[in-house]
Amino acid sequence: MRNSRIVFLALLFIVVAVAAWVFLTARSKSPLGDHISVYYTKYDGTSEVAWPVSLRPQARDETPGERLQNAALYGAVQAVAGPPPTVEAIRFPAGTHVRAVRVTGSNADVDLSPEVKSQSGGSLGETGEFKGLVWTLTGLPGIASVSVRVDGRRLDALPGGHLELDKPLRRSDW
Amino acid sequence: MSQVVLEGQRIAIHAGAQGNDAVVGLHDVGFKTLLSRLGISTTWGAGERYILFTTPEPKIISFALGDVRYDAGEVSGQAGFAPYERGGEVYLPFYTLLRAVGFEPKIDGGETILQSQVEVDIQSRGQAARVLMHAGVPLAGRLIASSGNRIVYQFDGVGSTLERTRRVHAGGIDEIRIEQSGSVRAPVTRVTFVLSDGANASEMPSENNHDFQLAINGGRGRQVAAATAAPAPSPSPVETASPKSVVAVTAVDAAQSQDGFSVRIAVSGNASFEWHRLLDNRWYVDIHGATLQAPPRDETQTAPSVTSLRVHQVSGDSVRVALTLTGPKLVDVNPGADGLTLLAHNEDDDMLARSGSGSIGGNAVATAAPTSEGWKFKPAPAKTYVPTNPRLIVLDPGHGGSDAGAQRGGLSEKTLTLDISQRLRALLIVRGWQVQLTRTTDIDVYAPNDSAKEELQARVDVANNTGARLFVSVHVNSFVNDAPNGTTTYYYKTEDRQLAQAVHDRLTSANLGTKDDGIIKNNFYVVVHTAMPAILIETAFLSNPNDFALLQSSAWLQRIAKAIADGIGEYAGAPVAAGSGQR
Ligand SMILES: [Zn+2]
Repeated sequence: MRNSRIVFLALLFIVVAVAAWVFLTARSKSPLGDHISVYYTKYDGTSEVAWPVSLRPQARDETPGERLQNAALYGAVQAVAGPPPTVEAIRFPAGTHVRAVRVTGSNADVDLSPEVKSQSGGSLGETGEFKGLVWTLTGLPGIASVSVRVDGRRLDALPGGHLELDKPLRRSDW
Repeated sequence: MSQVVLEGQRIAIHAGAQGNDAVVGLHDVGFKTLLSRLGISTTWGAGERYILFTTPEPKIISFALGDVRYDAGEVSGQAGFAPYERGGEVYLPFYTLLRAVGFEPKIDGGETILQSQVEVDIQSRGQAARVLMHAGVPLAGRLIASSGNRIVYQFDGVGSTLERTRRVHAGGIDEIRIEQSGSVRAPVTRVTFVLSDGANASEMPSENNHDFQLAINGGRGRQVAAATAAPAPSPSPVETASPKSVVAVTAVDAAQSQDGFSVRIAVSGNASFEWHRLLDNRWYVDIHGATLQAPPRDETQTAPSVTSLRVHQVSGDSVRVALTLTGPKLVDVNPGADGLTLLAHNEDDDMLARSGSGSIGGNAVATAAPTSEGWKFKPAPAKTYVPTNPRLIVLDPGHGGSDAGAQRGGLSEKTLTLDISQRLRALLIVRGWQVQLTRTTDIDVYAPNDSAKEELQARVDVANNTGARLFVSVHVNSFVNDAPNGTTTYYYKTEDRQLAQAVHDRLTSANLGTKDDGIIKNNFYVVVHTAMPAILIETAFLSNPNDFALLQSSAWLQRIAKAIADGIGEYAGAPVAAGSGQR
């Protein structure tokens, strides 16, 4: 009698342990794989080319939420830096870099350095830069829109600029 | 405290030995000085795991707290130790970072000399090649010998950890030999290019003084190949994913998000794809040359935009993913390195492309047939905008006053846009329209040195407050180099596409001599916020020599004004008096 109770408790323990393991591992697996696609805009101002960039493996204590945040930061830094110099692509003004990225819900808020304001005048560069950034971040599962700041402050439009930047940008804006 | 020497200048940095690396704090003043001298920007925030550095090249160096792996551009490696955080400071493997940005630390007389290491990249195309050399310091190549098929360049102040001999046999280069001499503080690197018979080399201008470029034109035909002289294996590189030869669809996952129904198709290998939209709201994409390694699917969906999903192998060498849509829904097709993501939007769209194609894998790309060739699935939505002044057209000469817009050789965008707008006004008035310009002189429309948004909103207000029939914004484009050129018509609101089409048709048939860059939807402030049909025309590129010559001709400015006026007439017909209603 006592033996069967021990066996029952042991079995129960195993079932609970397996269920907990399945639950925990299922919950902590991020949908992000080992690559992300960084997009850049070609000189026609409309074509987006995907540039695959390897993403470091998910760390054991990295939750899916944190991993998305990290991937968004990495993707934004890559998109703003642009592809290697030999690739013909529309690039952000020299020196522009990402200060921070904050993912809230399905929006990624990107804080850029002030160099982004030194646009050379035309709308082509402005369009290509932001389109590439938006495509890169909205290519991550769970991110649908991108809002932009400069030096921590919300940006309405670039000085002498053309683009509407005071609302979250989506792929459907182009 | 150690003295670090960069290009002969000393910087005091708190860096201590740690194993065969050195440790440095991210906020160390000397370290920050060094990064700023090298033009490297840092991205890290409290609580963040990733610490990212961007070089001016650009190359991104990625570290993560607690992870010994680092990424430098496309190469991954093992750092001397995993970065860690203590007391609010982040400690990094200093030597690993230095090597990743192209400097070899050399101890000499108690100081750490940062010796810039030259990188050599060879890109060959057929019988020609481009050699791009790069260093973390200014790089000047001197041709010191040239005999037969050997040419030798000397670079002072840089060292090399590259392999001594690199056999290339492509693009006119047989071999490259690299030798380092000189001292630790004054290194010299000589690079010998052994060219193929009949090949010749010429120096090319570089965009910055850290690069040195040679163009090689090969003599005899050689097999096409590409080669890269990679740095000699510095800390054990991690294997990166190698391309697979078999293309397979390995998984198909579907999910409903707040934007729509998304399907993630995981594809291993490089593949091309082609998608089609049928008139009965069926939509499918074929991934060519692929085998289905995931289970086939044929299931009913209850998503707002999708009622069924099918995944199956067709004709032996294609995998088809087919959707039945609930109506004319836009389907985004986003190829990536490892597959394809589809998003069927919840909302209807009225102008949809009927096909498109692209590629998955390295350099994934997607193009859709232009929307003008798309199918109209339903009549344009009933116009809710009723102009209170149907005879009035508002023209918006871009920029003005404190904002000159694009500039080149005495010509500025603000002057050209006003010139074209005034010519356009005269033409429209003759045809019976009333015309108002958002500015008639060289002024800011809102106020001098106003914010960009105030300025753009002020232009929108002119049109919205007058209840105008149409809004046309005139601009001149520009770019950082002279390649892009041509004329583009932009719109944002779906219902404005007809106006864009009418005007653009006239622009392209007027023999303006500019390239047709098409009709493009864009998030431009003035076309987003205007209540009436609105377009923005980028007439030509100041930065392109051909377009620049045209922009200097008053006859050309008159021709483009006439083309715009003709397009407006095509779209809006003859002006109608107030109260007589609109189309
Ligand atoms: Zn402009």
